[in-house]
Amino acid sequence: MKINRLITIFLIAALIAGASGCLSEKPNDKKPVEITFSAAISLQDALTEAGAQFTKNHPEVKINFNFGASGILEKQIEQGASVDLFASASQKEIDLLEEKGLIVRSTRTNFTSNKLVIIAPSRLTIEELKKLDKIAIGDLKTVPAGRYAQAFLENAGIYELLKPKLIFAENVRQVLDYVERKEVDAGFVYFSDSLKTNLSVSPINESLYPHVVYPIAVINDSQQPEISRQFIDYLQGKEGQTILKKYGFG
Amino acid sequence: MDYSPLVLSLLVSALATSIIAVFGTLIAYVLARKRFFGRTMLDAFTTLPMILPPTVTGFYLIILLGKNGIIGNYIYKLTGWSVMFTWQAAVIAATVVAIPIMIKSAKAAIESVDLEYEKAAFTLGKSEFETFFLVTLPLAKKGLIAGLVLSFARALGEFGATIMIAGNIPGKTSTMPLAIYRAFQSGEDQLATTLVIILTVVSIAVIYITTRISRTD
Repeated sequence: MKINRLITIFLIAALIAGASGCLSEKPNDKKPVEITFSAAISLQDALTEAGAQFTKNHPEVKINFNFGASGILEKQIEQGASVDLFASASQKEIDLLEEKGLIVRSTRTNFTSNKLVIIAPSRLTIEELKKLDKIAIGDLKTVPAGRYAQAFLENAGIYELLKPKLIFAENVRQVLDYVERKEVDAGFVYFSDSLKTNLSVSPINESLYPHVVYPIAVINDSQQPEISRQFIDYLQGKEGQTILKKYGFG
Repeated sequence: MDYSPLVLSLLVSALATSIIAVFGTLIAYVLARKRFFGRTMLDAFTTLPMILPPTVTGFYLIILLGKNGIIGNYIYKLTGWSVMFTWQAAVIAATVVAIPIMIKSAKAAIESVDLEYEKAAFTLGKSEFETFFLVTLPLAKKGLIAGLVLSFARALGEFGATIMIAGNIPGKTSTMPLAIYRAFQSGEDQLATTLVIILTVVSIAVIYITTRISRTD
């Protein structure tokens, strides 16, 4: 009885060992590489697809994405989070990191752009916007989309009027979520985010807010600067740009 | 220095604690003294917010009270008002998250009151209502106060459910824990530190004062 059990355990162990041996015998002999990519949450869908395509050609690479508000991601890097790549929705965050010498300067580049829009159950004019009760925008301190929206409202001369009605969200996707759940009447998101929803999209005069450009750079203490650089190149290349365009960027 | 998070926090916690004082004690009394169908269910249900992560509680509150929520949509249709992103939402979140503590401690306190005293009051012609206020409550006083203090402290520290249904709007719904989170995330470490110290001192003071009160009698 006891011996039987021992044999069973041994057989199971042998099976598991054999199976895992088979799994680890991949055709390539390159060492597995993992990179952590902190990116503005507006890039979530586009980068997830771009990452999947990139790793098809580089099966040894695994990209761990960390999506969030650009300002929050910047703070994490400043506080020593081990990140290899950082893409922000505005220059401010990358500027801050560059001032502190935390990014590899030569790798900094702008790889895509976006536009600010208003989403709501129906298309809105500025006059209609003024009459709403609750308007969601990204937190002014950490969310670039919030700052772009603030710039627009200020230039349109209605920021002070709307200020009491603003609901601040932790990132731009939360704005989208608030409007979709109808907890607020309208919200400021990027054009790329607006493609995810069936809500009405009202464009905004582009001369009334700063151009939305996404900078990217390799972080200084990255253990994988080479593969990180390759991913930047990929995003700037034809394939990467096509994916970004598909998701409403550029 | 903007003191609005402190003022808001104290206001929200005080209001939540008042609601908890009434309903927490009532539920605790019913659970301790009444035998009815579904009693265990009620007990489990009112303990739930203590066990669940506050974000889950917040999620349920949104389903219930959001603009399209099960109750929220009727409120919105009738009044054109939604509790989402208001300071009242912060009170609701704090109440729901903190009330189990009061119920637990009040229930234990009421259960420890000897039934003979209540029976004596009944035989002397007092109604259940009078007995509750004149006999049960005074005898359970210590446990009730302890429950209220702990509930207040829990309400003061409430974060997860609050950020979900009340958002984090400076001057409107940014209570101390939310303001600390915002300050830290946006790199205002100095402000975060100040708020942390204030919250710690206020919490210690609350506990100290009430321990003194319950010790003096």
